[in-house]
Amino acid sequence: MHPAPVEMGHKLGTYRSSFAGIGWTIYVGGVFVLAAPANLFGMGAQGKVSPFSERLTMAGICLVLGALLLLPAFMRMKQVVEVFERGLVWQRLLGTRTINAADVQNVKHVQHTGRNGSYEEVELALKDGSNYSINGIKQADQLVAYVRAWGRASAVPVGAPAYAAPAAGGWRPPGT
Amino acid sequence: MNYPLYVLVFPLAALGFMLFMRSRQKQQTAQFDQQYSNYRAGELGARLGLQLVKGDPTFNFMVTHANADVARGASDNKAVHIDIELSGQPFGVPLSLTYLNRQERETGFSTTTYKTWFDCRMAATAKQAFPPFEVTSRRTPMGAIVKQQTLPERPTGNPAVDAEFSVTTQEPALAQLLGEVLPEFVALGSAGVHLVGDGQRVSFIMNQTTAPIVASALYHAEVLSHGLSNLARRLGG
Repeated sequence: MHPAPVEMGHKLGTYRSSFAGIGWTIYVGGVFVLAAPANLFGMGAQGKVSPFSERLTMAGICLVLGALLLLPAFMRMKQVVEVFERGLVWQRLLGTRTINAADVQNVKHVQHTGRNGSYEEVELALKDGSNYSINGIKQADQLVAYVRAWGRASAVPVGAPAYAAPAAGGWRPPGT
Repeated sequence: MNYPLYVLVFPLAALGFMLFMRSRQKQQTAQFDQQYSNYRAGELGARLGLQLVKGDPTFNFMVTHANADVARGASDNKAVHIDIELSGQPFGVPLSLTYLNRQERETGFSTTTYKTWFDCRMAATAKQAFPPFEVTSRRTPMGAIVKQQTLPERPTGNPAVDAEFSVTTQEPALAQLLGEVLPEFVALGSAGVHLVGDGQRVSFIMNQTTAPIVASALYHAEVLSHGLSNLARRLGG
């Protein structure tokens, strides 16, 4: 279920996914997927003498393992985040999610570093208690900065000498 | 048991080389700290006409790893926590330089988590509130500067400034004023410029790993302090 659509204002940026941290998953997944027909059609000396049922089982296992590795990688690759003045639209392989700025309670920028590569994660905590992790997005720091800017815009500190605009475009420098 | 001689010699040589390199690195750090002593918090404050309000006066903004805590890094039991504040009115408007760097470490079974808080800015406070704005260099050698506000870009009326900086604000008159003031900040060159006007203060934001980097920006500390004070005066009277 998507929340009610709101006027999100001007688009601030579009953020796409990177290969960071999923290269090895795609490689191993690809090898498994290619191993499936190789097993099925009995390629290699051992394959030619194996019974068809055994080759079919092995091909099935390879295909399932390959799909299990490739699906999360493709889900990450096929994501696009469009950030607006008052919300974001997160397009993924399995659907689109709209998150309104007013619903965001907290944002965390996590940098994962490991032997299989490094990638960045943006953790969004919403006021209804749900959490979303946007993984492997390029320029994640800018995305996080915009989400934090939403929070600053909505939270005017008590007693702060805020600027009161006379009208849009009506400001003049002092003494002019 | 008879072992070949190199079984003993190689590990000892490696250990000796490691100790020598560590000692050399310490010496070099101390040498750099001395060479750039005018960037220690106390001395930088004196140069800029600011008083040290909080923190270690010997902390060197240019050679941060000269600080023992930074050099050692965070451990599970002890976080790195550097908190410096300098403030004063060298040009008639309140000016401050704040530096907060906190790093905590949690070692888990298979992962190590570092939590980092970093904020470094030189800020001038205006007498009157003004509309928010943000200025970023269009190009820096370290990549794009991360914007902190969601404001529309406006021309300043000064083509040289527009070519160098992205100026975002809701107010055309403010963009025009920035077009007159920003040429002073061109002196920062490749260090990059990131100015944020939050309605009352004008801050020059500095970062640890992305432009403008603290050391590169504070190399122009005098230009910054004058430029920010001038801008705050023009904005707030």
